[in-house]
Amino acid sequence: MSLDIRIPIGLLFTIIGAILVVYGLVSNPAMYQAIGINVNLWWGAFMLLFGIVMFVVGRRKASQAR
Amino acid sequence: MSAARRTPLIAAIPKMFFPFLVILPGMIAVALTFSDGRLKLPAKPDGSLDFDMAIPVMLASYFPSGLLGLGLTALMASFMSGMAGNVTAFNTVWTYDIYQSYIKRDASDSHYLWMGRAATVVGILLSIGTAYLATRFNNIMDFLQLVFAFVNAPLFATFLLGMFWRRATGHGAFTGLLLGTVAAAFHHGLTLPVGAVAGIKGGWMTADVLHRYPSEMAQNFWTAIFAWTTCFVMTIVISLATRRDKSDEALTGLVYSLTPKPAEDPVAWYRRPAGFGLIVLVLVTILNIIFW
Repeated sequence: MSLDIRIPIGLLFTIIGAILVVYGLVSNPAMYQAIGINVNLWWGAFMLLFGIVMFVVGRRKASQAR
Repeated sequence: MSAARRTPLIAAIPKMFFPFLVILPGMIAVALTFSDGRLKLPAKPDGSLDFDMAIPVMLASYFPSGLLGLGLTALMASFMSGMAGNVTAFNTVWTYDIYQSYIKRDASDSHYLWMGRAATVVGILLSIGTAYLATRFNNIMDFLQLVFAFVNAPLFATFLLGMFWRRATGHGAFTGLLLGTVAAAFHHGLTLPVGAVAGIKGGWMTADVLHRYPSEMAQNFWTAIFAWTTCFVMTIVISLATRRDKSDEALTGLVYSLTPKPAEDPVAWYRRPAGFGLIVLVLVTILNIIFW
């Protein structure tokens, strides 16, 4: 049992980020009038990036340990 | 060892920015409500704005579907993790430290497991009841500080004396703690914040209270000061009056002056606990000066 916490966190953020990015791209732009920017797209992209970095760093540490 | 001593200091860094997380959403909500009326904070029955609703209202009016789901999930997750952590601590302390140590020793593991589960149910019921008490306060902070004044303030004096004074005895600590909590109860029962009715906010001991504080928070801090001082003084007095029942050897590892000091790891000064603590202290001071 030596699961690096960054791997599940990375997977979670990657999946949620990807869902938000896709939804931000296909959803009706009128939805974002209150706030002015497509928050689904941008926050999704940020979460996706964060998730991938976490996952990659976690995997690299795990493979080094082996 | 050095890593373990650094952990609370590392945890102190995000804690420094806690006020931003707590205050900033409320300030944004007020600014948006009063600037051009784009946001409507709901009003309480007495006409004042309901600041407890700042985050939910902002979530509802600014998050589009998609991010709204994520925001609500994050809100629920933080509630649940806070609750789960405290209920776990509750059933562990009850089952392990009280039930197993004092009430029923040498029972089977399955019995303790059952008791742990029962304690979890009781803990959740208690927290539901506490939530109803908390709604009577203007904000959660007033209620939290009231609980801290009763529980944590006398306990702090007990820990302080227990860790740094080898002459402290078990009787002194227990009686001091008990008297400290009683002092908190008396102070809470005899005073009342301005504009509050007697009951959960104090004043439940007399018809006309001895003192009225300008706010709940002032009353809470004075309750804590009375509780701490009573516990501190009474623990010393009773410890001196009772006989020492523990030798210096038995207290090694418990009292600071009798515990061997761990050697410092040969690392850079800012990675040592003292250096790191100094950095945190300087940062806190700077933040306090900026936001005086």
